[in-house]
Amino acid sequence: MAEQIPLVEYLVLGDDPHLVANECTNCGARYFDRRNACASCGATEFTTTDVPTEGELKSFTIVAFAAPGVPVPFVAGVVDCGGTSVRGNVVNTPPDPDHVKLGMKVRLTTFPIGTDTKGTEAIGFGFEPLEGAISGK
Amino acid sequence: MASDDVWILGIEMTKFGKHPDKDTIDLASEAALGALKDGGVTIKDMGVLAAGNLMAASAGIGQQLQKQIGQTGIPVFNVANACATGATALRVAIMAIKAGECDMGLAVGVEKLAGAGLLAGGSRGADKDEWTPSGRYGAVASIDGRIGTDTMPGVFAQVGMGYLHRYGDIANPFELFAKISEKNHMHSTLNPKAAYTKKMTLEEIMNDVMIAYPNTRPMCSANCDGAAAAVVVSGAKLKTLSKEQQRRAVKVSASILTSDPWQEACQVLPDVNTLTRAGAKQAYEQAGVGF
Repeated sequence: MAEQIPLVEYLVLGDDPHLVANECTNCGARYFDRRNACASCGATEFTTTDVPTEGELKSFTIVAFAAPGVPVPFVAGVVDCGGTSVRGNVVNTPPDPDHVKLGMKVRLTTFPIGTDTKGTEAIGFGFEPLEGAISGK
Repeated sequence: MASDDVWILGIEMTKFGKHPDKDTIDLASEAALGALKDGGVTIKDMGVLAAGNLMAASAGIGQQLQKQIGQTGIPVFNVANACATGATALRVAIMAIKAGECDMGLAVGVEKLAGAGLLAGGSRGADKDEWTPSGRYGAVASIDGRIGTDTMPGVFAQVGMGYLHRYGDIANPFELFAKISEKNHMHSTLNPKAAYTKKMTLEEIMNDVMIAYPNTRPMCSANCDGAAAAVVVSGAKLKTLSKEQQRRAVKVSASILTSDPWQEACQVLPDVNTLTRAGAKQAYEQAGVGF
């Protein structure tokens, strides 16, 4: 199989793809980026922690107009994964208000973004509805 | 009036809109000269200049303005603070007076945004030949559009929808937010200097081009060109000016600046609510009106 690389370093690929966060060992605040310190309590020690793959859509928008090169429409949202908020697109469902609802239960899914000149496939993630997703994975 | 109060002595704004024949300094000069004239003073009376501008933040707008309207050697603060740029410029002039560094100052805010599009997100460039992690997320390609959106209409649409989800889902969020826009467009008919001064019906707003659900084009900020300026003066200095200047002056009861305190989720979607609420609360307290 071609080599794979995640779109972002906080996406862990493999048999059980999931997101990871940097969790402050002092106060538990979680972040997805490389840290200098905790923005909540100021401590400087972090541990890598798994983020649940299922959650609830607590906000979304359906983007119809984006920068050149960004295909539209797409659904951008915030998912509450067991207490950790995650930024991601809602995928595998028509991008309209009849199919995307606040409070909808969703789960993490991964898909190819593209292949580079060395044959490495970049893998991205999104969130699909728990019920009635268009394409199984 | 207390001697340690700060007052607005003169104020001016340009018409907001498309001004392709005016550069940033033309607009800033129009507002600045207008505010000085409105206050019955000149640039020579100013002890500080605070010039707010974001798009040309590194270009020294304050000094460029001086070169057009008066180089008097006073301290110049070039101010950039996102959407709070103009208010921060005003706050800088107020702070200089409160600190006793001068008794009169000029604050200017200016921007040319006509044609600036979505304001954030940029264009997605071609992906690189070989996927290479870079940046704080170790991203191998552009994230905008692949993981959420960076466009301002999209970000603020999510802020509004998140608010609804937290405080009470309703059947038709689109109509609720469109009604706010209907009210805003109605208000614009009362200000001849507003970029657009057209009443719009709820149906016109909801049937217009969708930018990021539930925000249609008329529900989004009108990117345009414009400038405003204010002359501020200490209470002590104001007492020495003419009766007419004293009569017209408006007291600054509060000038507050906040930033967003940490909340869970705030680095995933900006929390624009807490800092706004905190700003309002502190302003009411400083003004002595409380709530």
